Amino acid sequence: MADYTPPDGDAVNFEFEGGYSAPDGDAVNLLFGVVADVDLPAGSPSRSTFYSDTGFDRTIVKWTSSAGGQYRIEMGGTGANTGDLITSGACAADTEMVTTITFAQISAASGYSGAGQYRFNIYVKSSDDIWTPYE
Amino acid sequence: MANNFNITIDSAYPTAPAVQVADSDSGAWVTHNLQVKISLEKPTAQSTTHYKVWGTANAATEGAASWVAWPGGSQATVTGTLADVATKQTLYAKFKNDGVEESSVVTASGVYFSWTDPSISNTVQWKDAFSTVDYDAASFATLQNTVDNIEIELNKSNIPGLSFDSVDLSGLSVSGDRIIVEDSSAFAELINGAEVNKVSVQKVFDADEQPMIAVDTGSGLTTITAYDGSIKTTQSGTHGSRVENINYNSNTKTLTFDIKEFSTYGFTTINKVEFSSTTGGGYNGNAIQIEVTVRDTNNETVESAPVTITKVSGDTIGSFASNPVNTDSNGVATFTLNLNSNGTCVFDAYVDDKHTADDLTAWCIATPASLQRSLLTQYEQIRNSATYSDTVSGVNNQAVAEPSGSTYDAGSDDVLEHDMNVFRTLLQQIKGTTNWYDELGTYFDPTATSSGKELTLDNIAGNTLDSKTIILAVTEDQSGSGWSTSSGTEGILWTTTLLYADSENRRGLPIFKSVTNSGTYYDEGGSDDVCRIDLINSSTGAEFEDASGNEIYAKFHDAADHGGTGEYTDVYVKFYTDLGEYTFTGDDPTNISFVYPFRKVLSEMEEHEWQRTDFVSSWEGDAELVEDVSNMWSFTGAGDDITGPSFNNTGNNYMLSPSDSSLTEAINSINDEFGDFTYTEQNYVTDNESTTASLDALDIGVKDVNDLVTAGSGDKYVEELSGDLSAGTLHSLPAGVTYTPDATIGQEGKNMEVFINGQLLAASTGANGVNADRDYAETTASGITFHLDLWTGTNITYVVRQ
Repeated sequence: MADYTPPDGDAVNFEFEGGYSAPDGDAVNLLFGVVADVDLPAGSPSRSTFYSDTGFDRTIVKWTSSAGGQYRIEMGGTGANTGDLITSGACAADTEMVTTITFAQISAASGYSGAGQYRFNIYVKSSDDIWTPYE
Repeated sequence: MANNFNITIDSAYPTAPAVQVADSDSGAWVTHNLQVKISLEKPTAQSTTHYKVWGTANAATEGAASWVAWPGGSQATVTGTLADVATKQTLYAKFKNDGVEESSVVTASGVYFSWTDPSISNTVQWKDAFSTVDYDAASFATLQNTVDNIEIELNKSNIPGLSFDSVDLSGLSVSGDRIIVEDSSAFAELINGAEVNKVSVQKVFDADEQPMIAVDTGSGLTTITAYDGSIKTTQSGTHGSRVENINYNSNTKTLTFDIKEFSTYGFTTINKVEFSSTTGGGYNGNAIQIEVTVRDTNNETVESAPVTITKVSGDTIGSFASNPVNTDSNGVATFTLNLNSNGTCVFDAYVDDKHTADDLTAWCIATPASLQRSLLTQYEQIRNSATYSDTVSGVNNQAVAEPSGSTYDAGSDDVLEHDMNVFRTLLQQIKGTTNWYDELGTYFDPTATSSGKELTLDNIAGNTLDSKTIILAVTEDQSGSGWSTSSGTEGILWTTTLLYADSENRRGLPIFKSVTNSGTYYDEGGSDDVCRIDLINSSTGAEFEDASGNEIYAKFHDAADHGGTGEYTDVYVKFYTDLGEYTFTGDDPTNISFVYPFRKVLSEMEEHEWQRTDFVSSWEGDAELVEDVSNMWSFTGAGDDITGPSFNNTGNNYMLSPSDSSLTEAINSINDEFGDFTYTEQNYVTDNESTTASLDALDIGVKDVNDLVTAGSGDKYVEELSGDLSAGTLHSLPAGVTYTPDATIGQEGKNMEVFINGQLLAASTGANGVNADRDYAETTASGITFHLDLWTGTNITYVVRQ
């Protein structure tokens, strides 16, 4: 973990995500470390809309991570390990990864509820064991 | 930057007719392979029979494209080949029915083709060029090092998300039969840390030897697999799971396995096969065990290696229970040779083509007859004396311990070597040391602290608790009643079953004197340190003295000399002073108790006997003494570690002197200051009377003198009349003066004198001068009545005494 020193005189405002509320009266311990940045290049995913029709039932996602490590691609959820796992593995830093997502995978997920829009999140665990946060 | 994206599931997608390339409708899609999937959806209302696609490398224009039979259904997927150019490529399609009605042209959104070979180490090369496998369309790619005959396959199914385009694989190198991955390289990141990611390795060996896999994590190669390809049972943690699917084909000499966690990998083979002992044997009819250890080129023991023993030369002396035998987790194969024929044999052991360098010479001999010992038998009796065991099992629970396995030949437990091992084990247990031969060292010797004392039985002898006695002080007061004594009492016959101490058994009562059994008891004529009995006055709880100030005590005498029976029945408590035997007088106590000595062996001392509870419960015990000392401190002003008094007001004219260092000196100083209470004249005080009496006498005398002095003096007041004063008129004293009228006969007016123009007047007699027979009457305490006329300016002087 890297040591972090907030700038003098500046207030630091923390907002908690994922429905988390810090308990009243309890101290919050902030740990700073390397967090992987995930990026999707232009044109990714290859399709943003598809269905079960043959030949039109999948999309291809290209993505890169600033840090290597384990990754998870989840449908829904508000943070690593909270959504439906589509695929997982390990990636190298700044290396193009290619992930195919099919209608069959989506429809098999517990969060699937028929036609509509679904959000997918890519999480990479950095060398400091910190998963990419939910954005 | 964003780590999320949205996908819409839409049952109306796409709008027919449609054509899409490489699963893309973005228009900016980049594909890394030329052969692409072309997705088609026919017009909704058309009974499509044919379609055509152009814009590909094979059909750049519609005219160059041929009609192809529609496979049926609403959608179809075909393949096409893009041109090897970097610009955007657009594909087109058209549908028709019955070869007559053609649809309008539909256009795909377009794709780009881009390809860059992965960067790799110069120690490896691609087995197949990517251009021959349609670039990233390849489901796997294989790196190889032809010198070491090593191939590493990167399969997309084993590395989800892997794209070969531009990927940096330079962190992997193969050199000197080692597969090396730099810890922080992209290759290491791709493989390490994920449950599913792995690469497949193939190594073809030249020699016909069973290979094993070794890994180096920074401290040299460690063998992680057994001879049979399984993970060694001695490995755990990461080493236990870093490789899997290990397989060796001995026909092709090819080893394949998957690596899930990277570091540096290498290979090892069997290097050495050796007997644990190169000689051994036993009696005909017995079995002996032969151990063979197998090691690899890392000098680690090899597990599951099949060891075979063969006869090199000599006689056939027995048969093996099993042969070959696999090595255990310690790399040891243990054979059982059942001896059945006398003779000598030389054995060789081997695994694959590795044989023992030093063979085993084994023998089988006939069991010798009783009392017979052949030279060979004697040799066996004393052989291997240097091989010993300090921990022979069973040495404590059977008459003849058999330390099987402690030496090479466990079949001959009756040899001296085994007996010696049993004794060694027992010696080690007795000494409590790690090894039987370890030196015990020394223990603390208060008389020689620098060197200590050797821990030997000789040094301990005579110094144990059961070799020492202690004389215990015991109270006896007849259960609180005490013994009645009177003038003329010489001693007490005490009925008790206690034994008398004698020369053989020194425990018991120390008998100071016996006539009947003279010379029998150990303490006859003994010193007071041993024989003295303290007598206690029951009424005071203290020892007492005779009229001459000699302390009275007692000693035990043989009761047989004093009208009793003797040992185990009674004992006589004879009174003494330092002058000799003593008889009580009328001044001595009439009821006593005593504290007597009793000799015990230290090891027999009861726990409570060290606490002197008898004393606490009866006379002045330790606790009582502590309380007394505390009281004395409180009384004298002393305290812990305070050895002398500290007085206030010393020196000058005080009674106490700074040199007074004790209460005695202080009291002497006071005593000296007070003197001997004798007086020269004894006017008011009397010799030898108390200080209070003397001070009281002085107080009375001084008061009397004061009264007399006071009576002879007074306060003077002078008055000059401002007007005439007729006789018989009460005249108030000036300035509010008062006095005490006094009609004492003959002393009338003694408390106040009155002068007229310097002439002293006389007070009339009777109460308040009622008789008016003199110059004035003391009429009131504040006024007088003159019996003569006075004129203005007359001077009147009053002297008031009281």
